[in-house]
Amino acid sequence: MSEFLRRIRLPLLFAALLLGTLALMLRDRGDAAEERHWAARALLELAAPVQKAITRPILFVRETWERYVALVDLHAENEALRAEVARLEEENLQYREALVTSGQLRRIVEMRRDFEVPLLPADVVGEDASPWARSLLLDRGRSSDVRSGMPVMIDQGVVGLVSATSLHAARAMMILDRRSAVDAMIQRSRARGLVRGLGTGELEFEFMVRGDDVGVGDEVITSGVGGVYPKGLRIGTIRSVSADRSELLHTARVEPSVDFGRLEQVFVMLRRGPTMELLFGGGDGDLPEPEPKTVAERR
Amino acid sequence: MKPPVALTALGLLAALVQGALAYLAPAHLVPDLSLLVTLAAALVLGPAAGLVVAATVGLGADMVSGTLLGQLACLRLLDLVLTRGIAGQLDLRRGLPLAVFAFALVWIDGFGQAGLSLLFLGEFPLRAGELVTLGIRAAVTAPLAPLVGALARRVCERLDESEARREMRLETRRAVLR
Repeated sequence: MSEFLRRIRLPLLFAALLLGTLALMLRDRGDAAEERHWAARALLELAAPVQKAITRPILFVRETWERYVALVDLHAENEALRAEVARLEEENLQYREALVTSGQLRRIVEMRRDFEVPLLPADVVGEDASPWARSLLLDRGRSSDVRSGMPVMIDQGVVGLVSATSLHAARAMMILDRRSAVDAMIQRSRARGLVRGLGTGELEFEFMVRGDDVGVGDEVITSGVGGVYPKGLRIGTIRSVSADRSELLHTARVEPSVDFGRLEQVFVMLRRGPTMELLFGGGDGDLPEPEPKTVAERR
Repeated sequence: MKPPVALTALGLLAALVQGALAYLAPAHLVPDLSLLVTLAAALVLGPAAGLVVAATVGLGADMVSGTLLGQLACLRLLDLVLTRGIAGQLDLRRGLPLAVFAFALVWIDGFGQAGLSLLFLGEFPLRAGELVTLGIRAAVTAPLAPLVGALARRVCERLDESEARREMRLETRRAVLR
């Protein structure tokens, strides 16, 4: 008997591990609302500082290279520019003021005011290790009141949704991920549909209305239906529409409004939509709930 | 006992490094380091320890990635079994065969991922564009296979040596039986 057990030990171990992984996949697919195991949270917690430690020096060297070494050709011009330094210093104060009242900072301030929901800034410290999934690693976690199911955005539009958290880190699934689906509408015609991630850099808009209600160049925004994202957030612009009129379900390619290749800082909306609140329950993510007010409603 | 633990730690570190590199460069230009550690584990560890290391490394990669929990773990197990099967036929200790096999393994792993996605999410994510990026990823990963293999072998040898040395020291303190 013991000889038999010794012989089948390896196949048995292989089968047990394989079945275990398959069971995990089934559980992870079916139970989206469940927070991940403590071991997963621990590894996520470890991932943020490690990835930050790797990326920061490289980013620093890259920035230094771009700022200084790549400018070596301009060395001759530096002599002439030195004369202007005094004048530039005088203007410096004015520039700082201009910077605050214009550009990205102003948009961010407006965005925070529009939603009347606390927006938590978070640094992007890593991306998905697997090329098959599209997610970001953020340096804010449960200690900053970040919970699974909270929307992530920047001033350009929707980035995605927090999918896992640990004490000081969080993983956000981008809307580009194949598993992402956002209820959306065309801003011009109010035609509603579903924006799905394709796993690449593009999105697909599925809709059932007449084809001419959706045209190239139309802005796609969140509809607020589905209770995950607030209404009126920008998703992208229609790039092409499928011409087949015989099909009931039409599709259109959408170019995301967010430049996902240049994400450095994002904002986590510290409020879960009603659907997410139902899915996750109140216990884990109880946060002060301001009355949800959307951009469209305010205007 | 130490080499499997060391290779597991190396595999988890590889998954974290991979995530950081993916932030700095396009994902298809980032080598699949955790796959290479699994490949190395298949060559330097025994079958039982190799299976446990492969499953743990895969599960760790799942945890720091957005894939289904268990997806990469399942694939790493299959990768390990395949590598051990091929290592019985070919000499994968040499650099070139190992690199060629790693190139093929990235492709197999990619199709495995796509197959599991079809099975569990109902979509086969490999289209023409993805095949090109998979090819680039395989080309970037393959040359690193001999390096990771050598590193894993060196780590295991060092740990085995230190364990043997400690046993020898203990041996000398034993009472001599006459």
